[in-house]
Amino acid sequence: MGYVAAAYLLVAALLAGYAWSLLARQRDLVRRARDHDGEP
Amino acid sequence: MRGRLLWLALPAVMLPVGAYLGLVVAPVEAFQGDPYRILYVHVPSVVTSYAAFAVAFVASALFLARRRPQFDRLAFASAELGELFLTMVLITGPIWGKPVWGAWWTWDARLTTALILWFIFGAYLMVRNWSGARGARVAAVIAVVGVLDIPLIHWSAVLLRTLHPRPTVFRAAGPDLPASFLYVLLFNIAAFLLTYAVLLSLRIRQQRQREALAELEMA
Repeated sequence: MGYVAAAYLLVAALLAGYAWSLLARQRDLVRRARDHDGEP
Repeated sequence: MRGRLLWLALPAVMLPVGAYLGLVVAPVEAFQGDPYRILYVHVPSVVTSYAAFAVAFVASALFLARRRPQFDRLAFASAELGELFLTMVLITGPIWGKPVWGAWWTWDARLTTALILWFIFGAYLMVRNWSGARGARVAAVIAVVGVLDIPLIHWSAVLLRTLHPRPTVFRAAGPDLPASFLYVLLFNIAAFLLTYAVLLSLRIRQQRQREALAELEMA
């Protein structure tokens, strides 16, 4: 069952990692948009 | 707004339910035992990566023909997700292979052509990320040529002698799986495809925002 758990956990980690990278890129966009508007 | 939230929440519900069905509800396979349960993440990842690369292929061909940025945006986002799901394939495959074949990896036709596809779209993403809009045309050519590897991957297990089993679901004579396995597999395929669709829509929207912001910053 160790192989099965490893496979499922790695798939979950890859999906979570991609979702996290999307959020990080979105935060960066929001920060750049604020900088452009001159907001703190 | 409500519909949008529901759309985003669907994969978050379907993926854990699919994992529960694959790990707990689906019966144990007689020959392989529990390791066969990797099927429920391996095959959906394969199907989703093929679908994503097929979308990237069509969008890239349209971009080359018409030069409209929305096709490039769609191809870029879909290729990125295709690479993500293909990475899952290349990770779950060896983890399944070790207990069943006794080896993590073997250089047979199926596995090697799949690895080549991963490198081709890795090259696509490098070109597209590092040379910006200027590299879009080169990247589109890579995507169009690269997708031709998918039929090779599929037919390699049918026409050549490989360690990898022949297709049991997507074959001309219909699926060769008991219903109790097939329904769980189809549910997981639907969950993975839906996850791809949601992530694709978010990634395209983000890319559009990035381009709009870059134009504002240039002005």
